[in-house]
Amino acid sequence: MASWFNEIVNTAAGTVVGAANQLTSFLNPGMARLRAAGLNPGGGRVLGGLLDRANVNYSNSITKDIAKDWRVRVSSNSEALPYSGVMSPLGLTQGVIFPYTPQIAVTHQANYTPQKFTHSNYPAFSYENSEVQSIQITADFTVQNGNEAAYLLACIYFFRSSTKMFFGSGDKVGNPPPLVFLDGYGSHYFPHVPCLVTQFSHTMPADVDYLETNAQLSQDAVAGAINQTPLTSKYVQNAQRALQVGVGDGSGGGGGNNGNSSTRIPTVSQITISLQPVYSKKVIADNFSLERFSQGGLIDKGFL
Amino acid sequence: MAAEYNKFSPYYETGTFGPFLDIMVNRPIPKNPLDVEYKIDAVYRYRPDMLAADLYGHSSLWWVFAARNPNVIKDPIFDFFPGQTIYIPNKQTLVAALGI
Repeated sequence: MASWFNEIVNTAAGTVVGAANQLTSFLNPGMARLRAAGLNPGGGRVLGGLLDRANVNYSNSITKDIAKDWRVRVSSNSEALPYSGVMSPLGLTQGVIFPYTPQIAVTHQANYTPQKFTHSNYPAFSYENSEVQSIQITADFTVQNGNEAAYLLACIYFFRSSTKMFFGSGDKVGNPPPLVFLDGYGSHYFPHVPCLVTQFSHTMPADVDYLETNAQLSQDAVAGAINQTPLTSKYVQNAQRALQVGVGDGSGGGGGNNGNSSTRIPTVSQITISLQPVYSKKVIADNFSLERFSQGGLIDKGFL
Repeated sequence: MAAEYNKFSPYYETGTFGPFLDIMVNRPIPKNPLDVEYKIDAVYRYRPDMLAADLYGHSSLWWVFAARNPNVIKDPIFDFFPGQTIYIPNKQTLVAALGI
């Protein structure tokens, strides 16, 4: 009884207040401007202190349209390498996003065999082949809180898993390591390039602090909450809540939240990966054309 | 005879000699954790005076936004453009800092 009564009373009171505000706005243009700007007279917060910013819309890496995101991203097919368990933080960004601009080296090479004729001043070159050599990515990671520690741990597991074949048990036994896809810097530089992870290394410096994260708790907390597409606000909230629950604060000394599941992550570290672009023979035979490639017409196939 | 500046003026602390202003003495606006972050709307383009009038009732406090956000607003007028994100000083902070 009390709840519906309160609701009705509050609704009625809100209607009266709203009408009064509208009248005030009509009579006072300054008040109308402030209301439109989401500000209060005097610059204070609204009652209850819930408003800490007026109309600021921060760039949100979680809900941003991935197709328009220019940041470097290494992602995988969700069936081959699902973003669940310890990799669940990657579901928020649909792959690995590097927190700082990574250093990337891409080498396009054309190979020629020199033919050195006797008594000649210049050798002749016979064309052999061309190749895109493996893409070297060096990226720095810093960890300042539990969420960042969980994300870095997820990245490490992503690249670890990307270098291993499906073996032992499971539905995909016998398959080679999963492909990953490289995106970044708009539509024409890394156009969702299919790549193999040929090398992954993570430095663990000796002269930095290590932050504790509780990976096991994270797995339990986020199971089933992350691996959902498309991105929805509920999904994001679940994942964020899971991250908050699932990681330690790093404030402890030697002991963790759970002695067997805690992991320590370096606060400053570096990841180096080698990605080898790879295309199936059928895709190349059916789609590749140098004329179209040179005009930028094959970006939907991921050709470099 | 030198002009007299009241407490609402950015020159209130600045001394004078003869008819001239001395080197300006800034009147910093302290940070307050309750300061609201605000992205300037088009209606206030180049009009900090209008925002000050709407917020505090005194258009002569136009300069407090630049004083509160010195790393963002270098030019108090022309850096006050839509999309710029600033902190709005609380009125209680102004009262305490400026003695108004």
